[in-house]
Amino acid sequence: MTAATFTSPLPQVTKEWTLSFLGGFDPSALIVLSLSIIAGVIWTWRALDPSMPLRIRLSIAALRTFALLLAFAMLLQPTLRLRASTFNPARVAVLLDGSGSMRRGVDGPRLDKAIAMASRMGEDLKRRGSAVEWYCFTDELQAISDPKGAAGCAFESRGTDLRTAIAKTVANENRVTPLSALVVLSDGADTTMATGNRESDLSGWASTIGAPINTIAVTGASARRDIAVAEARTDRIAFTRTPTSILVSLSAVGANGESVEVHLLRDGAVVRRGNCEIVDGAGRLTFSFTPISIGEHVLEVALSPTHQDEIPENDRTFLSLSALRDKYRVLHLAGRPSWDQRFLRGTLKDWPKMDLVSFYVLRSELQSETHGSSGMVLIPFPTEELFASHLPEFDVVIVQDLDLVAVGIDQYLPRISEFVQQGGGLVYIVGPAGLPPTISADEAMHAILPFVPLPVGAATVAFETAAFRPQILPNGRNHPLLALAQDTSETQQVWQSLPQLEGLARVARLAPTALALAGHPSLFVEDGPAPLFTVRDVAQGRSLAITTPSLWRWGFSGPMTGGPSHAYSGFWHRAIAWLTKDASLDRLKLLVAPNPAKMGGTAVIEVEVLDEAYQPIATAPVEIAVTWTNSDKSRGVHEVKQSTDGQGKYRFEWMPTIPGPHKLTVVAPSQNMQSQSEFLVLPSSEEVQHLEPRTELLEALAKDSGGTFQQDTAQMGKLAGLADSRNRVVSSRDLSLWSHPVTILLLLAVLGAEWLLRRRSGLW
Amino acid sequence: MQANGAFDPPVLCATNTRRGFLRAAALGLLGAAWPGKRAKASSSGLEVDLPQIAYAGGNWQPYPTAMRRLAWELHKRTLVNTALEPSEIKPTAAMLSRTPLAFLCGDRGFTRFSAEAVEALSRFVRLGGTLVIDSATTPDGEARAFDRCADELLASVLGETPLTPIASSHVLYRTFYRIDRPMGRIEGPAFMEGAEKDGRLCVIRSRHDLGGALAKDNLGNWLAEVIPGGERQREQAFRLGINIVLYALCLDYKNEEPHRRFSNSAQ
Repeated sequence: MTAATFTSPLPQVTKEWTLSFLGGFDPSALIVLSLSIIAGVIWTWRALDPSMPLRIRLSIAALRTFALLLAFAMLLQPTLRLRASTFNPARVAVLLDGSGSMRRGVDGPRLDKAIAMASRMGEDLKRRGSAVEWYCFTDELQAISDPKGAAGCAFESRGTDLRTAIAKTVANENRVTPLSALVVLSDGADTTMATGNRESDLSGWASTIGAPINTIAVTGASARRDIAVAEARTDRIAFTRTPTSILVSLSAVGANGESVEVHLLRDGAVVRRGNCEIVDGAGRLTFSFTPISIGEHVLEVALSPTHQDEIPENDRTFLSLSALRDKYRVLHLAGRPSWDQRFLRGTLKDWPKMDLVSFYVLRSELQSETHGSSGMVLIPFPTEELFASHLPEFDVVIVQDLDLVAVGIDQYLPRISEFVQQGGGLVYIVGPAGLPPTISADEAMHAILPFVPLPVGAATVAFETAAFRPQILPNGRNHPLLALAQDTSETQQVWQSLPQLEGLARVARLAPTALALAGHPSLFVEDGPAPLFTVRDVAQGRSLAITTPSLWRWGFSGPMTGGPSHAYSGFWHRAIAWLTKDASLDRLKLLVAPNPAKMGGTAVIEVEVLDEAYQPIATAPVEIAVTWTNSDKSRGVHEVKQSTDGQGKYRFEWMPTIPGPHKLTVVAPSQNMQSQSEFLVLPSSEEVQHLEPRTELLEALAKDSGGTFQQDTAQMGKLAGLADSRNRVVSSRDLSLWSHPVTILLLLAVLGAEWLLRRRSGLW
Repeated sequence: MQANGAFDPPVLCATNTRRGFLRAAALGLLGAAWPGKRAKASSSGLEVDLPQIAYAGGNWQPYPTAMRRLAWELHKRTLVNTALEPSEIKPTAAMLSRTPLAFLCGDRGFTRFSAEAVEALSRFVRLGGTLVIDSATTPDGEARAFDRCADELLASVLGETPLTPIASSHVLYRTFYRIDRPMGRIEGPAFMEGAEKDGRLCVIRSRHDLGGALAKDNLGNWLAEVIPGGERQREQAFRLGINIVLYALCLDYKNEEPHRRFSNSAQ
């Protein structure tokens, strides 16, 4: 806040003497003292010889009486006090609301009316001798020299904050004398207090200010009918598949009792509709929104397009949330109970972020026919329900030792392929019998598996049962799937301490674009070592194949014999994160800060490019495009073509030109990678959502602080606190009469005179 | 048990008769000598083995064919890839690490397990293994002595984790067959006991002489009579054995919603 300029007439100094007694006796003590003096005088008279001349006796008695009275007076400690004081006129702070809403109005800017009223008020206050401080405020406070200064009141404004403006005015340290009163000229369109909650927000606060707040509502002619989306709030962090609440507040003029349709939109498409009834100029509505995908979600809350009012700019607002994955939904299909299936199940079930649905085939059709189903609790494999209806609800499907064709799922293989290509994750784990022969003939599975199966009737042994210690292949050295420890050397140590695996299914070769991360140390396929872990990016999804059924030994045999205890669970946690494209494992990382960005500020956009082995790529070309929709519905774009630095990063600052949702697209052509994100640019001010006057807030302020409320008029006689002119003591000086030397000399003189008279009269 | 190249003297767990003590001591001395020779484990983790723990100082295999019989029934009735020749294992970390399921059977008292063996069993149940204890009631056995020794061993292995009755609603009784009550060669108590770690039964204790109902002699005849329910009860015992193995493999799979729905509708 800048220093206030005070205007004040020259002070007139007045002096005043007052007599006061500092003895501090209470009335009973005074009565006792008085009676003692009277008794002393009587006793003195009676003690004198009656034969003495009357003149002598009267003189002695008078001197004694005078001495006693003088002593009594000294006990009372009489003091003369000289007070010099000045006359202080009332000190009044006048605050003019210079926010955006005040610069609007159906019949001209409200601020013009406020300035005119304040100018008249200023002259009147001057005539009364009041000292006036002038301020202009929005969500900040600025001292001005006169009311007209409010018109040019220029600072970055994000809204209107009445409480802060008043508190800062009262706390002005440049002021010597306290304020007698405040006068606030505003439309009350505060942006910091929720619509409909203002009275409770202010409860008790205004009474602590210490001076009456006189509020003058400057409203002018209002819009005949306007409904605004005053606010839309939600938690910044949400979780996928978990409903989150979006609280919408509407403010309205001329629409009481109306029901208005409100839409929640994403990418321009309505995702929720709701009706909100306007009561006392406000309405509230809660939307439930369930993010499906992880990442930034920019949402729009808007009144139905059919709605029409006089201020359409405030009919919508934006908000953004960041959706994290709360749980991984995994479908675990196993062709038979096995230790590999059991430990995988145990690990997934022990993971709090896991929502696991399992179907295990416990017996074959032949067994079913041979032994019947008496006393059993087996349910038929719900193939149609799972694959025709519920497959898209899962993040990852694990197919373990299951011959999909044999259990009648072959008709749904295209669905599984489509699931992966549209962003799902697939884990394929072979069983003790190796790959089922039927897989070799299935084209849908070929499209998503990271390996090409051996052809039916191939001469190669399809399943090697011997134990082996797998080796990490070059593509696996930095891959997060195999990062069993913090760094690569530690990972290598952990890898060496893992127990041997048993059994490896042979494949023909890797599928196109697939990577082998680990393999057999001595067996080979067409294009390299016989793979143990193979991964593949398949359109939007990913697949992972594990060609041994003994990985469970990492979870049990290893820890039993002193090996690493978290290698197995850690592997599966990373595998699920990688398959579901957890942002922390992305190879093309995007960052926008701050998010949401704000108009008038800069947003930092950072891109990081990693290779398939998760090493930073230096000098990798990146093409970055920020896109948005302009107010005229045209498409805005800001494009950057640059290369990454030695850390594989490129960052730049960008200043948004329009508030609203923005999309960020980054392409790393050398890596054939593309990534998208979205972010919100907030308007620099929330004023547009709070354009209509709110007089109830101003009324509440005045009432709580002991001030008065007026609307569109400023009658000086009604303003509280202006008559409170105060005398301020400038100096004060005390003259103690009881301890003055003259008083003491006088007492000694009286006592001496009595003593002398007594001596001359022959007494004592 | 062998430690530091020398035999520990056999320490017997609670045996309350002089005859029992002498017999256990003699068996202990004999037993200390052989486990290294006879114990063997399945070499493949690709099969589901049903190994019995070979221990010293008692009768660790009251029914030598019982596990083989159970393995065969599992192979016949389910898709579990069972090792048809169940192995014998010593209670060492190395041997217990080969398979996450182990059976401890007996019909009399046995030598107290060494600290290393107790520690290995403790790690076994903590890391995901399932230990099944079955008390056999052979004509010349002392099932109570076995029970006391097993109790003492479990107290050391489980620490603070208590052994409690397994409720009849537990998924163990629904994991393949629906079982109303546990039964073996004898009817026994209406419940089995179990100890849970992380929501999983890591120890299952039967006092129903389950092995007695499963075992056959070399000519293919049932080794022991099943009382009081006869062959129907024997089938119930097989079903219980199959459920125990399926529970060790599938855990609470049958508690998942679709199965619960089916189970409820079937009741």
